[in-house]
Amino acid sequence: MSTRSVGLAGICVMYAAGLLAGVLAPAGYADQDREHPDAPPSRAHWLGTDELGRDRWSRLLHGTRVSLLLAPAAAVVATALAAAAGLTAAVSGKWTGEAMALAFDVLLSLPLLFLLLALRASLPLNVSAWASLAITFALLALLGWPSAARVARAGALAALESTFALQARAAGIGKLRLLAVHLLPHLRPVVAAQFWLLVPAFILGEANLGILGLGVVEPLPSWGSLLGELQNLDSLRAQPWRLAPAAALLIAVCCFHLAGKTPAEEA
Amino acid sequence: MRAQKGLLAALLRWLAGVLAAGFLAAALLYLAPGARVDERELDPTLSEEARAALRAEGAGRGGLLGFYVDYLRAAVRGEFGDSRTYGVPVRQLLEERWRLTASSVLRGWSAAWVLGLGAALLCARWRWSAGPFTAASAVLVSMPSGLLAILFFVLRWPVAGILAAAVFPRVFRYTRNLLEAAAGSPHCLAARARGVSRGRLLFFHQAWPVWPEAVTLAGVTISAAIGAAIPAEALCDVAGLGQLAWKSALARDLPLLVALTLVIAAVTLGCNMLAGAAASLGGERRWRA
Repeated sequence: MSTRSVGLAGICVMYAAGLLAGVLAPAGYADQDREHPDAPPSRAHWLGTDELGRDRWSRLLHGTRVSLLLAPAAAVVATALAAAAGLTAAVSGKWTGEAMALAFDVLLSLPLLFLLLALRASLPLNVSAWASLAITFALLALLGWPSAARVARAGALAALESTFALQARAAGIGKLRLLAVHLLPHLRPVVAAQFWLLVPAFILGEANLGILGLGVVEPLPSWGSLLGELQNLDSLRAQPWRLAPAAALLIAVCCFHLAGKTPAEEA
Repeated sequence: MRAQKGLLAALLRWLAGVLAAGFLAAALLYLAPGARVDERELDPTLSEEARAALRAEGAGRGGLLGFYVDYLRAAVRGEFGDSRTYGVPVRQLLEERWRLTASSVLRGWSAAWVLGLGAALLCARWRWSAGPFTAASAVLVSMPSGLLAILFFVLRWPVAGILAAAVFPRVFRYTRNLLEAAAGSPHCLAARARGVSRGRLLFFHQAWPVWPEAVTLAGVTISAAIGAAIPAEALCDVAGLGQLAWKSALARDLPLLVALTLVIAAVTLGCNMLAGAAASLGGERRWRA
């Protein structure tokens, strides 16, 4: 069994757990058991309860659904933006291409987390849980594409030098057709690889935002918001089961890294 | 002459990058909902004309571009406005805190490079030693820096260690790939066929030719270290620029955030520029040799 298959199998299991959260979870993510706040693991609550008496296992499953749907959705948008920007930079004139490359470099030079913080701060902070989910998704998609765009531009520039592109240009094919019909299919593997790289990066980005209190807000759980609860550091040594979201995140990101490996990398 | 031209081009590129980052930051400040609302507008004793005048004052001259030019002029003089959260000039805050962040970033980055490069060299020399380092790198690269900060804080390990742990996997993976690629190159095969010792082969035939690429990576990893400094300082309560960025984001202190954007862009683009210049000089020498 290849490491890629192991990764894909792991991702499938986690997606199944997340999507079936409504069935597998013994309680809703906001349901409170007020008799047992901050309870240790038991038969009724496998991972115990939080300070509000909410079942941690149920919240983890629902959080898995949110994070595992949010990151790939944002990655799809970011990859599409990257492909569009990278290809445009490659086929446009020298100065426009260079200006776009400089813009990619500027965005890449700033740490993603800092950009996320800055842009998040420019938007209203006191929003509903679903609005915060949409904002986090939009921020990741809008800020995560420059690295992929740079790769797409390099790939497109290399493809433009190849004989099929030269023949197409010599035949008088327009830029748009050249992009859509000749370059884009050729760059599909490059773009797909970028998607597999962006998903774990976005899972980590969302987690960092959640830990810093700027991600998905209560009562909606996500891995980021669940990890944010670990800031109550005093009880972490006494209650190690609270690290379960961290373990889930670690396994998921590892699985995505394994699934994104090319056959050459595996060899 | 060619090197001088290259350096000039790199400097111009750096300047253009910082100006572009400044424009992005100014646009953020200009367009953010409610960012330029003056609290004096809430005063019920003011007339409608006075409120309109305040609004016009806040909007600045000539729209976004005029606002940017005004902001840039003030920034060149070192005036970034006043922080809304702390009620002091942003410049003062930056001066008070940059040393702490610079120190922890430099220490963490250096430790990551010593460990990452050392581990990559070890793996290149003794392939059986790759397992633990690869596993450690896979675990660390899968952890958000915020989680690393929490774990390091619980274990009472230093803040620079968080940055080292965040940067180490990038250094290790990339340099190891570089060394492995170099090991399969014809000059290494020829050296091995001539009976060059393994140590000599590693340092002079594998590691030495790839240093320009490694230097380029060194510039890029500075940005990663600065990014990791934000949750590290925020969660470990270290009064550096990372904590300042976090607090200003939570308080929507946009003048402070914009100044931080400019400073971070200048530093990271400068490091990338220096690394790129060193790498291209090294590359030229390598090919001449």
